[in-house]
Amino acid sequence: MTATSVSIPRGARLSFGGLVRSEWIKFTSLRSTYWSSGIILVLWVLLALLLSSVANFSAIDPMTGEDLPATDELRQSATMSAVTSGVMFGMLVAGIQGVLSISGEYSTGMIKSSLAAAPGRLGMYAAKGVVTFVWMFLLGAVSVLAAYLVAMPFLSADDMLAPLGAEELVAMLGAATFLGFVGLFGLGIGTLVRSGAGGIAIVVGVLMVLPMALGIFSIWIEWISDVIPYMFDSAGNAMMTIPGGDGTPTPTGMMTTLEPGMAALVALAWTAASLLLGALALKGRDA
Amino acid sequence: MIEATALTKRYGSRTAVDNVDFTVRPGTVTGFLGPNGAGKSTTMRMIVGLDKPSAGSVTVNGKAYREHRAPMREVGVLLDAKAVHTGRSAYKHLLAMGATHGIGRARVQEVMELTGLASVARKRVGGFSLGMGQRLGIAAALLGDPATLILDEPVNGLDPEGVQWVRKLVRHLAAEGRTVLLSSHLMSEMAQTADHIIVLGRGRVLADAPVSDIIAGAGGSTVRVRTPRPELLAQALPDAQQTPLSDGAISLNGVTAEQVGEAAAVHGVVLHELTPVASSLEEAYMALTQDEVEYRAGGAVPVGGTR
Repeated sequence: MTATSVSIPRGARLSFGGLVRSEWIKFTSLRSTYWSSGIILVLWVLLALLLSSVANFSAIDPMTGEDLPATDELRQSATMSAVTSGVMFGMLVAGIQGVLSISGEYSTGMIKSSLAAAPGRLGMYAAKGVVTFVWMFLLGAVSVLAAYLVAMPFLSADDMLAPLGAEELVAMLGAATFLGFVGLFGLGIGTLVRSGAGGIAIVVGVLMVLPMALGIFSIWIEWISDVIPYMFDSAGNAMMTIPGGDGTPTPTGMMTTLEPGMAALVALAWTAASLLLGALALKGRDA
Repeated sequence: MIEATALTKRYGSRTAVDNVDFTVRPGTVTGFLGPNGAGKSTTMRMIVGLDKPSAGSVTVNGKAYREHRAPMREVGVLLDAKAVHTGRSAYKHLLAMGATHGIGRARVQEVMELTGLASVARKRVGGFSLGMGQRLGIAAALLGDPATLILDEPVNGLDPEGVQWVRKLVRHLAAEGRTVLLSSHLMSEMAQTADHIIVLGRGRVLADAPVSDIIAGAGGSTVRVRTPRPELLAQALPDAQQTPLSDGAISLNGVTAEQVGEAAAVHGVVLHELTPVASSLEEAYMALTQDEVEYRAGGAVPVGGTR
């Protein structure tokens, strides 16, 4: 019956490539993956549509209400804000998706099957990380390009379209990379707390509540405003910002932002910290 | 071959598995028998590295489970029926499990046919009955064609046909020379499936012996007879211990039904009923788990060697 099965390849054994393939099958065989990814893409494109259709307001002097001449800088900022604002929604869904990719295994008991097949544990975790990052990065890249295509006719009608130059592409790359980072951040938190609700609360807290709270407290405590650029979402926003011509941080309103390369490192540090906590919990605790 | 040495698991102040030694040998079906909370599942989880022992160790084929290069080819494990993501189809679940070891569609197809899942392969596991979940768990355990199988309560939720099927499958796997460890709290099931039984109670090994020894140790099997001349039967079977039952029948201890029938024929005793009473493993088990302190002092049953 099973003794001399010819359907198992000779020398079949556990490998990292196999784990990545396994995680890919797991990720792509759940409906929730398509739901959440669809939501990201649709909201992102809709927001681009909305912002690009009102882009001509960027060319009005807020003080006098008079039309400003369209400069390259103005075109760049209107275009990039239209096509990257979707990250605001995207990061939440990506973070939640990252949490669920592991908390779903704990809540259903699947984790026992997964870890029995890969008792080293960290291999499975790393494979999940690879799949999460690649999926979210590609989703971000597709979304931001789709947003650009959708926004193009509206922006060019108002003469606000910035062509896709190196700077714009780097900023878009930053948006896609940040989405991947947030997915990994969610994975780490989800592995640490093992619960969908708890993990989502932490991810939303870090991405939205923390910066808001710090913003409020910085009114009384001055040094807090120096910390804000190092928050995960601020760093993420800075990753997709085109810095001013001389390379110095671009002021956006009252807040200073980090230079994109530095911002990417800060966001990476948040991601790495979360993944590390998750890894320690996964390795140390009983499944 | 599974070998546990001084295996211990504590959760805070509670000791779930207490300094347990046992060996599960290839070519036989070994049963883990014990009430809920006896430490059966915890021990199984430690074998495959899901829980870390607080002390002691357990090896599979000479190595810790996690040190094997192809864990799924060494051990197939069914922990509880639903160690499966409910949102995924049975086919995708098995495909994902197999992919970790480079095991592909052909084998997935094979185990699905073997376990009778082919017709529901594309359905999401969330809608499965407990019995279907068990079949899927067994399919996953067989994926790697492993030398050792660990099945925690494999007949739980199965219909009589399914129970038969598991029993045959398990016997067949052992006959192929594999090591099979299964747990159950159903003693009748164990009596029919296992060759060897390890009785656990409160985290300790209460008995570790062949099924027949365990039954014999608890006073042997009994035979129920009905005869108009009990005094003649008593003369015919001087060694048997007779206990009159309330309905007029007699319970005989220390003899087999065959011995009773032959003795009755030789002495011309009329029998109206002759029934071997089969629930004795259950009684043996109750006797064992009821008072483990008394048991260990008395030593009525062959015990796990190191104790």
